[in-house]
Amino acid sequence: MSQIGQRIANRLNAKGKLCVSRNEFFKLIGVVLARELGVSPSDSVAALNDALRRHCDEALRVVQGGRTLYVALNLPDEAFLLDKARRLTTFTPAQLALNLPMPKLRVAPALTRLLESGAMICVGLKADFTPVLRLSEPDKPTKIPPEPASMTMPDADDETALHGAFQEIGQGRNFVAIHRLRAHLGWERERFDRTILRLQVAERILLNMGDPTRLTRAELENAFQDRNGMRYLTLNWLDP
Amino acid sequence: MNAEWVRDRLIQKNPLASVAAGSPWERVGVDVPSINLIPFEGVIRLYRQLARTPGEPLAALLLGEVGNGKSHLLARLRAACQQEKQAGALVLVTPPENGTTPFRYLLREIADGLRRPADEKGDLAFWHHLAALLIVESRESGRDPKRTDQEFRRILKAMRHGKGSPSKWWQQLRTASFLDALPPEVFDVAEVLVRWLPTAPEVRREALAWLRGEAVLGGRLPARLERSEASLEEIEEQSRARLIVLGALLGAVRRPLLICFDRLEDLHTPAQHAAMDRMLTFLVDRMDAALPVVLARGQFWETLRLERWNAQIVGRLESNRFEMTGCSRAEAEALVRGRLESVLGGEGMRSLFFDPVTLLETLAPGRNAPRIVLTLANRRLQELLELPARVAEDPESRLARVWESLTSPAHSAHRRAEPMRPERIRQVLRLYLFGNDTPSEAEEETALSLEQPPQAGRPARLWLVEPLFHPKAVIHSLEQGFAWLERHPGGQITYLRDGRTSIPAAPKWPETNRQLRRFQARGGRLLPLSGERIARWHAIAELYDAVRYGEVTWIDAQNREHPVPLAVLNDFLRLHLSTEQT
Repeated sequence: MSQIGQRIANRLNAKGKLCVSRNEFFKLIGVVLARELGVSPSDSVAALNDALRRHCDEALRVVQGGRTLYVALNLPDEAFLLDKARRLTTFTPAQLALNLPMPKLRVAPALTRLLESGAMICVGLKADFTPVLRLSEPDKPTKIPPEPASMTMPDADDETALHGAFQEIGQGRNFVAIHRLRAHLGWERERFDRTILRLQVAERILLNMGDPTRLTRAELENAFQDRNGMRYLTLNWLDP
Repeated sequence: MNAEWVRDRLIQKNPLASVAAGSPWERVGVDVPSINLIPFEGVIRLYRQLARTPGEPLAALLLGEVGNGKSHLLARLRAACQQEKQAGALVLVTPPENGTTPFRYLLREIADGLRRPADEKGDLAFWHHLAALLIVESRESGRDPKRTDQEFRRILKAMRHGKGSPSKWWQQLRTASFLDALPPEVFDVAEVLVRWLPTAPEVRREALAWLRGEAVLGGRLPARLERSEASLEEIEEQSRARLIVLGALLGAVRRPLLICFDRLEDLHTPAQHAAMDRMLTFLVDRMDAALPVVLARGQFWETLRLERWNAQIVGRLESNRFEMTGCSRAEAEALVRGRLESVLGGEGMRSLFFDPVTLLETLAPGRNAPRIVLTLANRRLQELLELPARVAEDPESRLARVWESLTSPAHSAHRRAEPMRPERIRQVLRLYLFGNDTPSEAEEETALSLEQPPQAGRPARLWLVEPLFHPKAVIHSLEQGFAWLERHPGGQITYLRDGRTSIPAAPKWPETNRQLRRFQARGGRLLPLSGERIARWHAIAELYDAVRYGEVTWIDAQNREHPVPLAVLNDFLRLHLSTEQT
């Protein structure tokens, strides 16, 4: 199932695009892939959203905004802002926020991070005090964050290894602290998170918020945080 | 109804804003039956099994982390028990603060739980239902169930309107053959339930006090029920015996009790764990028609079972272990749709200007906890409503709103009628005096007392909270006070008690009166708490627990949800408690 997501991601990469809207999406995937996905251009946005979510893993991000839908590579929010900023000379935050594959609420934090890092700068204020921004080095090719490892094919061995660690730490218990699993496996953060996400998509595990008052700061940091900023402290394995 | 109406309605009454679960006693709100269906059906299956064979030793364990829907599941179980053909009740028990009197504590918790409304009508307690069932049982001998049910309703109606003849009911019941098979002590409990409970309010109050193990003042209930001479050990033994009798009566009418133990995270001391062990073992082995259900956070349970509890009771619980598994995508959609429909209605839903599925676009695939689903859906809803930059609600105003709701007239009426819960009173006192709720080691050993060391010219103080309205319990508390005075000459003692009942004047309770005089002669102060104040302190304790367990949340300007920090609560309480005169 996840192969479809990967194939769509490959096509986006080949076209040099980070994101397409609903109409562009059908041109991008063509008839064969559309059939495999079980979608057609006459489908509603909701139906398309549903199909994509069923068939695509974390290789893609699917965002429904208003009456349209965006299918994008699963990159950090900043990548989309930088990509758009490259196509504009100067812009206001509101202009930058239009038609992005992310909820509006996430634009401001990403933009703030870019301003803090110096990738974007404020060049003045409009009469109503709206800031006018631009890229700090517009002629220099925008450095898009590297392709996340989630673009690679899922690794079934990692899932097995994580389950092994779960059993070893749990010793028959079905609620295990995520920070302990992370420490036990000693993987790179991204690899661990990717495996967790894959297992969640496959409904093999349930991520739980847990009780943060019983953990140290380091343990909290080594728990799992999703792209919505939700922090999960424990997981339990679900019966097949 | 148009899109504008829908938008206004959603802004005024956002159905996704409140993500923290309410009380199990409130009406079950929007429900998606398939969410946590396995635990729900598992417990109900055991309940039915117990209704058929009340003596069977059964117990269950429900595991779920924060936000997995534990409180909602409790509310569903409570409603389901009440709607079963063999309608029973759900009782919620929190861990005992001290481990020395587990049966007295358990009896009180169960008796208070059974004072709650037995059905959605809400006017009669489960105790009344039990009385009516016993009366019907005494008449029933092979008659058809339909007539039995009619009789049951007729008796309830008579109780509701203060009609019927309790003496006649008791005459019938005392000779009923089904009682012969039960322990002999059953007659006292049955008499209080059938003869004294459905009578004038002042007698009813006394009957309810007797059922929770308090001493009665005499004069209203028969003198033989007074038993005010019993020692503390005997009270503990009596409480145990009364629970067995209650189980026998429930078993006779085939109405089980779900006894749910929640907030196990409050178990700290070995004595508390030992008390839990004893209570659970007793409920499983000795009390009929009682189904103990332990609710715990998964990870906490794993520690508990391995390190603190004995293997036998753990094994019993584990044999019916159910885990909450969050909700699937379809269930998440149904939940969000149901919440929206609850404020928009069917017609409003047709005018909805967005597809409810849109609200879940940031939700990760796979299974998710209901609270996550609602939090993310609410974030998205705020965007779709295109609200102008919202003025963030701060944690202080959120707390104030919760407090208003806890002390609203609807809640207060019920709370004012509640008997005093000494542990709650001590908890609030601790917050008032020390600004935290951390019991000291010494405190755990001395039940229901609180010591304040000397400070800047002020002598040491001891606060005693009356643990039970019973002469021996009062004497025991006062004796603790005298012993403390020996160690702290010049210290001050305040004795807090429920001011709605008076300690009977001499010659009744002679030894208690003598000790009281001695207490006052040594400078001890009696502080009777009014019903109003007890209700307020109970509400403070409830608010404190809700915040402590992360159940009270506020939403910032970016529409992110946060638990209200304890520090904010402490400031809020300091303000509220500063007006308390002690």
